[in-house]
Amino acid sequence: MPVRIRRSFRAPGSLAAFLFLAPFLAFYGAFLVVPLLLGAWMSLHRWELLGDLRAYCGSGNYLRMLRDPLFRSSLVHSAQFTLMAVPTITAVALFLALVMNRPHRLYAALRSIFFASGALSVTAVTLIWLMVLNPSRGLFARFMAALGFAPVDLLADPRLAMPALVVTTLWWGIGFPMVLFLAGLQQIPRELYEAAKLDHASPWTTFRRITLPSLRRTILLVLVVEVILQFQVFGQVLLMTRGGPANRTRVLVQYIYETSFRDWQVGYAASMSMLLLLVMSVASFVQLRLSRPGD
Amino acid sequence: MASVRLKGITHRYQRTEVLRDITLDIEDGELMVIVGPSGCGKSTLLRIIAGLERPSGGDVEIDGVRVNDVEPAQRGVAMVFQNFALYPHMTAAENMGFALRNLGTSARETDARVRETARLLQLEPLLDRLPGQMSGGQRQRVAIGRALVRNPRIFLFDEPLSSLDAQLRIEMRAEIARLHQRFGSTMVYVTHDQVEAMTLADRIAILNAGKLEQVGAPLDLYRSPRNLFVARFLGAPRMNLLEGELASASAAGAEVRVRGGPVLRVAAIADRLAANARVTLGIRPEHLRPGPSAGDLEGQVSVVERLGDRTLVHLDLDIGAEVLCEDRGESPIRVGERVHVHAPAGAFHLFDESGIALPRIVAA
Repeated sequence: MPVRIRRSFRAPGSLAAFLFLAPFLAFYGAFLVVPLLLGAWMSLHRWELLGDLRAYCGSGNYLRMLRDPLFRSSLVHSAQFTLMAVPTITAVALFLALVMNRPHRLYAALRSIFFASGALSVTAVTLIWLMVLNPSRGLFARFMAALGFAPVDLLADPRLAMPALVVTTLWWGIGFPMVLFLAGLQQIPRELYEAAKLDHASPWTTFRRITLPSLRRTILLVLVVEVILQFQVFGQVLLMTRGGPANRTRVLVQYIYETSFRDWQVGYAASMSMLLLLVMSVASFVQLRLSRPGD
Repeated sequence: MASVRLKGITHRYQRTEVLRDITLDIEDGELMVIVGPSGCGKSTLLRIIAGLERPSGGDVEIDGVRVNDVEPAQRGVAMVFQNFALYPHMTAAENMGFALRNLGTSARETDARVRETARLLQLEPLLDRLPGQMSGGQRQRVAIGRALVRNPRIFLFDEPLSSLDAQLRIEMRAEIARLHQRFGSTMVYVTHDQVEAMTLADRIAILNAGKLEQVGAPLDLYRSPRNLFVARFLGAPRMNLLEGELASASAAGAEVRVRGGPVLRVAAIADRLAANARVTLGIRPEHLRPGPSAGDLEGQVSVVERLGDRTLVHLDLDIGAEVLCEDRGESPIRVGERVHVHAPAGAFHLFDESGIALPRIVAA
């Protein structure tokens, strides 16, 4: 009997909870779970964007990836971009945060300026940087000329195009990790620095032994967030180099996009998206594991 | 060991003046406690001695040398912070050895000195633990160990016991007193707790709103407070105060007419005041003895606090004031009873209208 009484009390509560959750669950299901499952389903088929081809092929698309040199090179380019961009963004963001972490109006203004570029759309950012890097009239060309060097078309140079994209991305995306680092820095008690001052610690020792270890979780968070973000690089590449020169900047998301919407092979594109999802999931998992309280 | 001299220290944060013309000498080997209510500037004064803050005016001298422009690390001071400020990702041993390593001391010597200090403070089992794995008391000992291991000229303590529970506070207080006796080091200790100040200090400096109110040995300040602030600040429970006016004054003593009440004899020299001048009468609870009859003042008991060794009796006097008096542990007094209280003339303190104490006549 008591069990029945308890149930009758619980039922209305559960219903209310479910009703409160329902709008979120509806959106979550419709726009995340269903497309994800659909993508997984599509990845097991030869599936054309237009037309009727929906042929089950099992692991065929996944095996095709292994044989596809363009897929391999685009995966490598995405990894290269990530390897270049993530440490650079993390280091520069940390440096800026260290410099900006001061209670003065000037630094408040500078913080806003550095953060502002993140509010721009990828179109605006690439437009600005196409102008900056323009080999005949751009700021960079003028700078090189002033130093007595011949102008270089960075975006047309197979070795320099990727670093140029990294610089653009750095300029665009530095604000968010910088703010994360600023928040992390402000969490470090002032007394630790004062104790270090009394303990004869040099600025470098203080940075190495106090600041860096105290920022461990923030650094980890920034690294993982940036890996997830930068591995999905697409807009800058499409608008600035279109994957060139000589396919040297063709990245995975661009290849997925082209396979899907240019070549109409949605099934194959879906299988590559699944792989991308796997990479992101691993990164998120690592972050969750390493940032557990008490670690 | 070293002496510290503060000469006319003033300090402001923007327009707010937090320290006003502080002049204080701290002798070699002395334990000076700077005490005052929250926000009185005591921690700022300590930070100025440490070199963590630069005074807006005045000089800090250590062993007769002006150190205003000397970096904190070069002043030979060690500080124990209110929240310990242990480096959270270093073990107790690393925390304690950090300064020595920064000074270029070899790993072997650092280890030896850390172990010696750890033995002294019974910290040996904790040396490999991180601060997060220690209790508040253990962290406090490590913080003291970190200060001690460097063998500084001056120890600075910034409310080091405020985050500990009552029992631990008593233990650590004794520990600090023992350390001071053992090493005879110069110590400057900041607290808002007057009990800590009274029990630890060689001398106490009382700070109020950035101003030094009085400096002296604990019992001297307790017995002869220079003004109303010091009188009220030292002593728990606090001194009772009664408003009144001067009825008569001579070299033999004064008579004060308590507002709405009787005339009381006070062993204080008040002849510099005009007749009928407004005065404040102070009497400590332990000097105000309650009895069933024949007292100076009469009232009704509102609260009785039985502490075992003594009983605190809160009294609503008929003259409209509230006073606290002490009775023996087995006091029969109950709430609601009518009680008389009495104090000898020599137990009263007398303050003029501006709160300055008048000289007391000390019985021969």
